[in-house]
Amino acid sequence: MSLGLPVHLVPHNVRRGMARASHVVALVCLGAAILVTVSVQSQFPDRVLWPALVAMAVMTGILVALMRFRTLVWTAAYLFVGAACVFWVSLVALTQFPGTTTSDTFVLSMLKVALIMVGFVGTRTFHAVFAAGAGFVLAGVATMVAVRQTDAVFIVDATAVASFLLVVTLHLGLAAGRRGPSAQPSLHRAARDEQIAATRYRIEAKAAAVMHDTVLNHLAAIANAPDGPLRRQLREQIDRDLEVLVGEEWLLDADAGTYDQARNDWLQSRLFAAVDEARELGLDVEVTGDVHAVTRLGTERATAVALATKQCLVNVLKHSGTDQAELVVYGSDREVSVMVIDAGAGFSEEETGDDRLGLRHSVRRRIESVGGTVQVWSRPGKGTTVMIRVPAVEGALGSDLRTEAAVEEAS
Amino acid sequence: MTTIERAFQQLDPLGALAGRPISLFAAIGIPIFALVMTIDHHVDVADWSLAVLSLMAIAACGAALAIASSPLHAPFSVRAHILVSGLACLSWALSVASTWGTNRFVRDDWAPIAVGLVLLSLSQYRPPKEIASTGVVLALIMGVVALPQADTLATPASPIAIAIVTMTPVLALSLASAAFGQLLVDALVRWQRRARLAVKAVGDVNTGWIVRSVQQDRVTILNRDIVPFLSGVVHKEHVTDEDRERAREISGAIRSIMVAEADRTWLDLTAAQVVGDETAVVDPHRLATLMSTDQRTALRALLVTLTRHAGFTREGFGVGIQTDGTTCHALVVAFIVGGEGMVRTDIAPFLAVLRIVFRDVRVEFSGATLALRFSYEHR
Repeated sequence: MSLGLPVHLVPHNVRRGMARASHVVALVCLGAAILVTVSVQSQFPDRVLWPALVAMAVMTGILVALMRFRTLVWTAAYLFVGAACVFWVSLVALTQFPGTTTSDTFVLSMLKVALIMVGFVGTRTFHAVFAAGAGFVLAGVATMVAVRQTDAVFIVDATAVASFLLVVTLHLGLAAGRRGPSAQPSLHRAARDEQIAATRYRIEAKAAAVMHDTVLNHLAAIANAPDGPLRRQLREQIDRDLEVLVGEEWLLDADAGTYDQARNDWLQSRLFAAVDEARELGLDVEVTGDVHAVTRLGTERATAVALATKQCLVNVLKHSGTDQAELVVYGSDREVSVMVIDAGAGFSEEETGDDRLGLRHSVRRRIESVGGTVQVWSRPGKGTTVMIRVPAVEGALGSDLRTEAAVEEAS
Repeated sequence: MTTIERAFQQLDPLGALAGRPISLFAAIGIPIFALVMTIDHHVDVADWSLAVLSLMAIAACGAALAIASSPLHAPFSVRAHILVSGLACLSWALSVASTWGTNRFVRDDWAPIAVGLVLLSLSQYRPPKEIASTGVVLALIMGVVALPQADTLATPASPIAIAIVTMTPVLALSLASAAFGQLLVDALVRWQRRARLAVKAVGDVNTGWIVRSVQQDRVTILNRDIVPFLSGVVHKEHVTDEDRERAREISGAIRSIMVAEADRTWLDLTAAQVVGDETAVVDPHRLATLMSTDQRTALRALLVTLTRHAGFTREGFGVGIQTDGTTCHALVVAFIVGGEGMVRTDIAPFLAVLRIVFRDVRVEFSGATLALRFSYEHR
């Protein structure tokens, strides 16, 4: 429940969801257009409608391919071949039913809607809206050209216009609904604290059991011992237990050692060094998330991320009016992201003066120079969150993530 | 809620808040669309009383959608889904009846599109399979009802074609809604699996220092009283009555500490962390231990947020849990200066999460005192 999608993964998945939904609409529309054409053909067997059916089948085939391979090439193929199909079907419909068929008849409307629902994912909302717009324009132009070849009259297709507006509204609405990361880090932190509390509880219980089995037993033995010296075995047992309890790591599990590698990777990372330096400057930095992900960055990117993070932490100390910051590390199969969060004074980006050059140069340019991006959410009085995202080095995935990436690809 | 459904809102209550503006837009936009289309196609209407009733039904549907999708009423229940879809379907039926025999074209009927848009706006709130099934069933009903209309329409199309035209918007939009929801749910489940690994890794990395810190606490206690006493007795020639008495004394002290520690719950420790006072928790039956990990996480996040609020004062803060045998009832009371509206806004996302994992979540303000009640079952 509580570990919802991190804010930086949401836009991409929303665009993918919109693309999938658009493709489903396109498929239903093409199916409806084909079925209605078949029905009309059976009603009027003397009309030649099979060329239109062939065009619709071609368009459906490309759509199925596009649903499977969401690439730019298939998107372009769907748009242009689809526009040619719209032209062809319009031509067939207008010539086979002259006078009774209009340019916004149901079958033609469905084809235009299918083209608008091209469902391009892209890297920004604008790309998806642009692709839908391209589909809308191409479908309109294709119908217009077909109309000019015949004696028909061009009518603006209300269904196509409404569909395009719906796509734009949904994209913009979903993008506007996403706000800065306010409550989510608190929940992630609570989940982490809960995990630590559970671990601590388990270890406390184990410590209590050990104390019970040793010290309390010995005290009971002494309390009930007869006059005279203690039994030799008891004396030796007490000596041995005291030696272990005070001098050795008696609570450490044998399996705890297997996590040493993960701990060492983090402790030896450049990011940890940056955090450590900030701590020495007097900042209380709390680190959460998948810190092991920083090992997937490679030397150049790891250095850039570490230096940029250091600058962000220094900014917290200099400008935010708080001495507490949180660092959250996320790792996905394709990128590593580091968030620096503080609950301090915050700022509005327009009002940032020369003293914020650090953010521009040391953070933004440095990260962009290694192919990453930087996002800043801040409002006066509401704290600041800086998100640094950098692509992971290929082939550096952990085996578990590699398997998962393969599963994701296959699905 | 005791069982989490595979709906995006229930898996990621915070993420679903992003869909709220769209739901509100739909709740207002769909009735307006219906009104405009009815006026535009007024010549089709045979019975205006039915047409007006149809518009009232779609307006009620919009209102139900707006209320049920509010984070203050989360999660969007199956009952709310039945109500919203039922009102949309009723509106369609009244609309068809109002134009029966006088409708010229079915492709410009607003009702099937409105029903499709209503189902589209449920994508984040209800499980994808449920939305898809509703869409298919409603589309089939509409298709069947459209068949006898073929004779009276202005177009010479076959009844089958008329049925397909009627069914298309509902099918397209409901299946699109299900596809969108399914993709988000899949992405979320994949992320959660990965995040659990990451959280576990962090927990494991933490294990080392927790072990050392716990051990250090114990060694401090041992070194203070126990080690000197035991070392002394071990090397003594005779065990005296005084030694025996001292052994009982120390043993009793350790036992009472251990009992007190065993009685402390995660909630006591959390209260100690956030307000430095574990007596703020009144939970004599240790009912806090019956909460699931998700419930603990949600409550912990809320308590941290409340107690870090600028207007929060330690006085008057308390958490109490009681049971009636089958259900645990919890009450959180906090004194927060700074206006009810502001506090509500700040805690709204956490309440949305709380509503998913607990039952009967109620928030009341009386002056600056906030009282939050919720309940959960014995596990």
